Amino acid sequence: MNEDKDILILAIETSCDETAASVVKNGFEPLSNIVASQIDWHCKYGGVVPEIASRKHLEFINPVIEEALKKAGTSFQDLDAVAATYGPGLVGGLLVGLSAAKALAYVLDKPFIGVNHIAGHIYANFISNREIEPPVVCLTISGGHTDLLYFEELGGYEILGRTRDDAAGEAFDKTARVLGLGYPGGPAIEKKSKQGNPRAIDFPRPFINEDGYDFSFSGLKTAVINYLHNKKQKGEKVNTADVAASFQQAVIDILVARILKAVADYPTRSVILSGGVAANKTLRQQLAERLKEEGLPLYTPELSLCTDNAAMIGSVAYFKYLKGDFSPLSLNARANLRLE
Amino acid sequence: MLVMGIDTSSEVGAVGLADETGLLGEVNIRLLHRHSERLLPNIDFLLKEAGFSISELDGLSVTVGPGSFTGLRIGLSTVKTFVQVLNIPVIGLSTLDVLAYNLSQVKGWLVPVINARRERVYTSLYKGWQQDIRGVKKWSDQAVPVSELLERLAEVDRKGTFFLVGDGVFAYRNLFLESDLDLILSPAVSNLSRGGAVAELGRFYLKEGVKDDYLELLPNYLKKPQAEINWLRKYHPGE
Ligand SMILES: [Zn+2]
Repeated sequence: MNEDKDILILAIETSCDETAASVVKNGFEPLSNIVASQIDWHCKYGGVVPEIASRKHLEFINPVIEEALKKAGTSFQDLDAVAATYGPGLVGGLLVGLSAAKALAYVLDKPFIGVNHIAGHIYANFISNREIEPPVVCLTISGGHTDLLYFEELGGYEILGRTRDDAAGEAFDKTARVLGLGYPGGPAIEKKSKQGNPRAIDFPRPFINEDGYDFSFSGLKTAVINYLHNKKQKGEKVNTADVAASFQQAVIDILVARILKAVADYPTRSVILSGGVAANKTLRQQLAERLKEEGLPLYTPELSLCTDNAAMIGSVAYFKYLKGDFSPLSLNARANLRLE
Repeated sequence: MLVMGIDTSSEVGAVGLADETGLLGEVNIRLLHRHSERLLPNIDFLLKEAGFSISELDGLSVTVGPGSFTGLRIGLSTVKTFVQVLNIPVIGLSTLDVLAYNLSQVKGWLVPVINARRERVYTSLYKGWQQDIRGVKKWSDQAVPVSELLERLAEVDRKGTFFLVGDGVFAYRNLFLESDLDLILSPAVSNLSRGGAVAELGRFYLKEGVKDDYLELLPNYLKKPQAEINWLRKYHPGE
């Protein structure tokens, strides 16, 4: 095998409501990054409808693959491997992308690589920030997960803590729904919060002073619901902007406290914030300020790589490719796949 | 013309391979909805045993439903992607046409019935058998309660003989046995989805030049997503 040969991986991502495909060169260089968003089809339902998502994925998957190759100037025969997200996510959607990727690998006679979506969000940072130095503390947060990781080297990690109930993004979505702010909840709450006072209501910060690094958000969501209920019973008007801002601040305080505890306990040179919720600018800003006091740089992926995309899946696949860590064509989708 | 047929619309994962000499082989296994784990290994097994590689296929046929939504999407995503790379003709077949095709050489009314749960079946009606099974099809594919199907069959031909085939035969056996119509219930072997039938029927049509655009090949769901139904009821009642 030619040592200098570029490794080209076609990666597919269909775990939620975007159908995505990307050709990634040597792990960190996306030659194309195509994302077909379905948000128009889900908006009116106030959340992703799994059956609708699955139907749309099947309509979009082949054109998105075609576009990814075209934009990259690559042919099927140029590919070295085919990768796809196999979890976590909505099973119906995952199965569409996984089936397409396995079929591609089979018909091209190339290795197939199944990728954990959460690992993808983490590796998105290595695409955006080539200068990241280990050891790294990484918080990855989305609608499906909340995990705090420690990388002694970039190749592997250990899990320090994770959510015991709702994911952070889930808490945003559910709270946005009860506040009537629409979907997706993260951007809706952040926008509304700009007009509100983050210290107006003292919502709880569960787990914040407990040992370990786990998270809990369901109590916070319940506190918001109880607050609204109380106000309604008393016939008082609710300042939605204040509720949104105070809720958002509580989530940020929980996340920041856990990261600060980790960097205090473990030798750390860089901190990474990733996942869909990492797009929250208020969180980024407050966390960066607190880490600056500790003399630590905060890395976040470019906004375009924060949302679900396939380039990040191709990046994880590259490391697996180098290790010869291929998946069998019998690999099934796993809705509740966790980082291991 | 070497054609592979694939059906993942029910609990059966079915793959068949046919050429001008007839059926070369088929794999039909009730997978209990583990199509994702078994489809490609079964395709690989059949091709290898028959002495072919996938790039030697001249055409593909695949069932588009009615049936399990998830199962259909696994089969279709796989087949569409094969076509995208191999650039060969493809045809989407009704699951009901394929079941009716199982009853070759039967005269009388053919009634495929697929269990759609809650005493409903996906069904259609055919008058006699011929290789161009679409040519003798009387009803479009539909989902109906078993009781309504029986009423409608009585209206079609009160004295006729109806040959029933499909997993609905097993699921609603007692309802069919109670009917005073002349119903012939197929044995299990005919009720199983057959990859061979998908391959042979697909090959018949592809040879005639009947084919589909792979990009437009999508499941025939026969039902809107529940969320959409609820939304329409709420915001556009009466429509
Ligand atoms: Zn994600």
